[in-house]
Amino acid sequence: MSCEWIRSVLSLFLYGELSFEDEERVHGHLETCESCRAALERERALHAALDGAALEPSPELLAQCRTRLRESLRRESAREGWLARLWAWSGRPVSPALLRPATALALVAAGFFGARLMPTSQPPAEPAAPVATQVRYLQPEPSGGVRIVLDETRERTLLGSPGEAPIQQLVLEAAQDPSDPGLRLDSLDILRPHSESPGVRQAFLRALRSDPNAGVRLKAIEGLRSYAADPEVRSALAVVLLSDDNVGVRTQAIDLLVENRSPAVVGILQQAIERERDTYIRERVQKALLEMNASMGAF
Amino acid sequence: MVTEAVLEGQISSAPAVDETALIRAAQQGDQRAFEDLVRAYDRAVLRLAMNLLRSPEDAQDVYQEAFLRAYRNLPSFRLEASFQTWLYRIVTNLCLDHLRRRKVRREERFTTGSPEAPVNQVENLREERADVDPQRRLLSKELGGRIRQVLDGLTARERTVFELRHYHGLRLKDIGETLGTSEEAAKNCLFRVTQKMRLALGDFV
Repeated sequence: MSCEWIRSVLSLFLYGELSFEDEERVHGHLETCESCRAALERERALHAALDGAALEPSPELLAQCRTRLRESLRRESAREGWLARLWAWSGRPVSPALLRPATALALVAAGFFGARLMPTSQPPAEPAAPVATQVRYLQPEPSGGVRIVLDETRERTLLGSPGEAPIQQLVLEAAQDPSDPGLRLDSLDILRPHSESPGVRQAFLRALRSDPNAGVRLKAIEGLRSYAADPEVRSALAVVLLSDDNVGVRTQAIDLLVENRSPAVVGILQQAIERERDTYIRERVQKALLEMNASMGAF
Repeated sequence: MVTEAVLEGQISSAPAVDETALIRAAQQGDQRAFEDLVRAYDRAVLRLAMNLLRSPEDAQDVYQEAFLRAYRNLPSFRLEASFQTWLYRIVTNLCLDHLRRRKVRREERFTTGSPEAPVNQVENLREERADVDPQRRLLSKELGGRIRQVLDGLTARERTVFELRHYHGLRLKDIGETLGTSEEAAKNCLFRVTQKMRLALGDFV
């Protein structure tokens, strides 16, 4: 087994896509070969560089797509609804189950993105009119009439300052929407100027500790920037520095942690220097420890 | 929530709740379940289409068509299969169709001698997103340019495999299934891509 072979498979090794045997070979070789360990670090750096090269759809583009999809689904549901009504009036038995897909489309079309929480310039005064009415169920009556069950979906728009309690509460809820990282990111951005509120600060801390999305965690760090000296924030940043798998997030965490030169972070920095692989972060930690006249390791 | 569409890095393929229950409900006409499924995946779908096609307009078309097809064919979806793989197969097939049509158009333009205007939509998109992506700001322009060059030089299939593995976190087995090929073929394809990347970018990192 040559260094050349090891280096050719390092990328697949990082992706975790080598066979068990090959992975064992790589592990064994890396233990004894310093130059291949260095090659692995370069491979890691290459992967990190590629991480940042993906195109990210803008929120505006995603919003346009959702609007278009809503319209397409509405047209489709109208077509299906018309067919369903034809079947009903033609005297053939129509099971409600057959109408369910059309109902699903109708509601999706009408309310799919209608309940978004982003404030707009619309006045909030009157309850909004129904934005969609859809036949959910049709039943011919013996009298010759028809029984119609409708589904109605309403869209509601709110306008207000994120400093106002009801609006802030909605944005805080949106900041925890597990299905949409974009919405969480936008919510934290809107809440950023209001980090003096304990509820908002807790939202940032929660996102920093547990949001699965690195972009959202970065946004949370931005929101906590003015509170770096707060023990709870410092503790959360320490956990991030020692355990977050994203280099960008760890970089932001170390920058904020060392801003205050607090002796309370020395132990954390000493732990970080032992496990950190990223060169920039290591140097930053070393520099901070030197400036605080602290030793490089914990003894 | 079904799965997390991750802005940076990878898309988690592990469902956070019982995805099967959601799909079953959507198949039976539960609009909330269908809504959850779409919302869980739509950002990732758009991102996949945009990175494969490098054109926001084409990506929008693929987004529309993919979800309409998913809706129409949901009743025939087998619950034992992976919904993500099934949806991604729809998206990648649509993207590959787009790329094939684009290639034909390019060849037609070439044979008739009309110039192809270079449209750098990709560059514009990067700038739009720069404010919400501190990591990207750290990338040097030169390195970013070189990466784009390499990505543009990949074949459609290579780019698809790389995109699905690197940015969406799909296992090679699932990528093979998505593209209608074997895991081994997907692995060879990824291996080729990583060799090209290392060759072109090795001196930058």
